[in-house]
Amino acid sequence: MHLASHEISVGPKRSEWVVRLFTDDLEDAISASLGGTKVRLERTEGRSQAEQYVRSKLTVYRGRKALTLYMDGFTYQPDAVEIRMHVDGGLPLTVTDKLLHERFEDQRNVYFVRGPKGRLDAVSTASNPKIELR
Amino acid sequence: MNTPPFAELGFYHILDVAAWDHLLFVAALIAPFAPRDYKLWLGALTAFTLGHTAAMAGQVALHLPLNERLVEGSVLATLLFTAGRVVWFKGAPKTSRRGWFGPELAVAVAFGIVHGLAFAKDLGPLLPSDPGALWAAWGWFAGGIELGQLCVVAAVFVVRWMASARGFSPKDFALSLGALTLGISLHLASQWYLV
Repeated sequence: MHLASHEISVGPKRSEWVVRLFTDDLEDAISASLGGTKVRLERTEGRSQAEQYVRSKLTVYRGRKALTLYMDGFTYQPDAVEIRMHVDGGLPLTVTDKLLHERFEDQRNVYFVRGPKGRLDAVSTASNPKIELR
Repeated sequence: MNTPPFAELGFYHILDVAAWDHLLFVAALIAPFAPRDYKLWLGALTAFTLGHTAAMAGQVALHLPLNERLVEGSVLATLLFTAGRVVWFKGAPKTSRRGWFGPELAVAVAFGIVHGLAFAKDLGPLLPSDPGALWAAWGWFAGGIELGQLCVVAAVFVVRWMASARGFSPKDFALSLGALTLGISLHLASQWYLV
């Protein structure tokens, strides 16, 4: 099973978001999206490549309004990369998460959400990439 | 109701056909037991789960510098030991006849720790930083492992019952399963240690 994880802390004014992906999985996916170009995320262009990929695969709505994913930080480690983001406002959020689904059929993106009413868990899969957070 | 993601992960961590080590380990561990010995095999499985989960949690928290090859080789060694023991005692390890609850628990915990250390590197980087979510993840993961192991146990007991209906004694069944597991383990070991 291939995994990635999202950790979202929902606040009244903004929701802090951390996505963690295995480095080799993400490099594979970005490389494939670039037509096979070798990708090394520890290089200077790694951050922008990773952020661009995440933006292309992750969409967030509140109702019918598409929300902007603000990229706040990027941490590279040989095992995994961490991308810190935020969206304005709190719940509800409708997330369509297709991260790495095009590469791995068994990809599961796990959500840990700490909201005003407690914790929520959810999973995005290739067959069901949509997550409703309320 | 959705299955908690980490319960699913724990469940498929055991029942992943691509990762034979856990399947074989559980099969070899319970080979000498009958369903009525549930205190023994359930105790051993639970001890394994606790060791596995505690080791993963500890390694994720402490980041001990471990030699990956050594840890993975040790996983294989636990498999060889467990299967080898069943074969050595011809399907009826002495300890099982004496009620070896204590030593068996210790062995299961130790082996759980080794298996947990091997998997920590695969899961650790993705775990949440929020302590509540982290504890919940570990709890569900352990529950998923336990449930996965119980499925393996159920499958072994079904085959055991079928073998018994065709005249196999429990001892012969255990010896056959132990020998099969040992053979596969030796094959895996030859690939691992000699390469």
